[in-house]
Amino acid sequence: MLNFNSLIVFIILFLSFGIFNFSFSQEKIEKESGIKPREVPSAARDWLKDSFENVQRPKWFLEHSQNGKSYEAKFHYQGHFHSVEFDSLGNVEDVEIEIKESEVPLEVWKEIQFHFESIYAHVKVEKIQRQLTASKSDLEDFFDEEEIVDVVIRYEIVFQGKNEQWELWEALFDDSGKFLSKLKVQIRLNDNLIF
Amino acid sequence: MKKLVILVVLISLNGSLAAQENKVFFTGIFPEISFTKKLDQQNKLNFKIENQEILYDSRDLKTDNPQFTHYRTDLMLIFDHTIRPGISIGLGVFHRFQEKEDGNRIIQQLSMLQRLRNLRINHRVRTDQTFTKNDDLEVRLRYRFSMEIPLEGAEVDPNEFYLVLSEEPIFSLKGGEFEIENRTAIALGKLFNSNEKLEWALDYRTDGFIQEGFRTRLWAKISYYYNF
Repeated sequence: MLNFNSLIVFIILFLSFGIFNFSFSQEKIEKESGIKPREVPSAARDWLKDSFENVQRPKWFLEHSQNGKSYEAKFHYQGHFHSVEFDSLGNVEDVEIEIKESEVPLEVWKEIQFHFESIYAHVKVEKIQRQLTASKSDLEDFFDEEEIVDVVIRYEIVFQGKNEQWELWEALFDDSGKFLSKLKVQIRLNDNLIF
Repeated sequence: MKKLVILVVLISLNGSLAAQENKVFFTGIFPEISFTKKLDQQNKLNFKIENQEILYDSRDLKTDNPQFTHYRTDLMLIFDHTIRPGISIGLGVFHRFQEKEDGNRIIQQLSMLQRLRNLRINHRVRTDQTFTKNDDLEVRLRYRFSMEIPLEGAEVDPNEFYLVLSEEPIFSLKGGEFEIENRTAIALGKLFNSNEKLEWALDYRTDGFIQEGFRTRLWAKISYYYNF
C-alpha cells in the first residue's frame, strides 16, 4: 500500500512541477484580462466620458481573439449594467445594456415569445441585453442627447430552451422582435465544483 | 481582488494557528486526481483518487514528528446526469483504504451552478451512507457552498488563474450519535484548457463538536482535473 500511495503522491507532485510554464495541450485561445484605464486608448476613454458623463470607475478589459484585440468597458449606469466594446484603436463598436423583460417594448416581447413558443416546449429567459450599434457620433448622441438616428437596436437573449432536453442558447432578435440568429452556449466544465 | 486574496490567506492562517492550540491536530498532504468522461450531452462519469498522508500528528511523540504516515486512500466513481443547464444529480460509489477495516459508501447528490456576471457559485447537497465491517452504519447530510473567482478578467480563460473558496458543513448520524464536521477550503487554480486544470488548496477540517474528541485537520491539497 505504501508504494501505491507514494506513487500517487509523486505523480501529482510531478504534474505540479513547472506548471506555471506549460500546458498539457494546445487549443484556440480567446482571452480577456482586466487592465488599468491608462492602458486603454485615449479615444475609448474620451468617448466613454463624453457619452456617459457621470459614470463611476468603469472596469476595463483587453480581449485577444483570433480576430485581433479589442477593449471593453463594463460599468453600472442609471441602474443598468453596461458593456461597451471598442476596436484596437479605441473606436466604439457597440453598447450592450442589461435590461429586464418589462423594459422590452410589449409588441417586441410578444414577437420574441411567439418565436420561443414556435420552437420550444418550455423556455426560461436568463439574461436580456439591448444591443446598440451605430457610428461613434450617432452612439454618443443616443446616450447624451437621446437621439435615435441611425442606431441599430437588437436584443441579445440568453435562455434555456427545452424540447427533448434543456439546452442553453444565446439568440439575437431585431428591434421588432424578429429572430436573427442563435448560438448554443456551453457551460465551462465545473468538475472541480461538483465532484 | 488583491485585498480579497490577502484577507482569505489571513483567515486561513488564523485557522491553522488556532488548530495547533487544540489537543488533536494533524496535518499532511492530500493529492487527488479526477477524471471525468463525458458520455453524452447530459451524462458524465467521474472517477477520483484521493490520498491523505500525515506529516504531523499532535497525538504522537515529538520524536515521531515529522512523519510520513498513510491515513486514507479513497476511490470514488460518480455518475452525473444533467437535468438543466448547470443543474445535475449524481449517484456514486466509494471505497476507502484505511488502517483498520476498509469502508464502502454510496453517494447521492444534487448540484446547482449559479453563473453570475464575474463569478460562479455552486451549491452541492449530498447524502451518503458508509458501511464499514464491525462498525455502525454512518449516514451523512452535507451542503457545500463554493465560489469560483477569476483572478485575471471577468471570467476564467485558458492559462488563467482563479480562486475557489468553499465551505461545507456535514451532519452525521452513526450508532444513534449525532455529529457535525466542518470543512473550509481555499484553492488557487489554473485552467490550462477546457479539459485540464490544477488546484493547490488549504483544506481545514474540524469535527467532534458534539461527541468527545474534537479534532482539527489541515491538509495541503493538490488536485488535478482532466476531462475527456
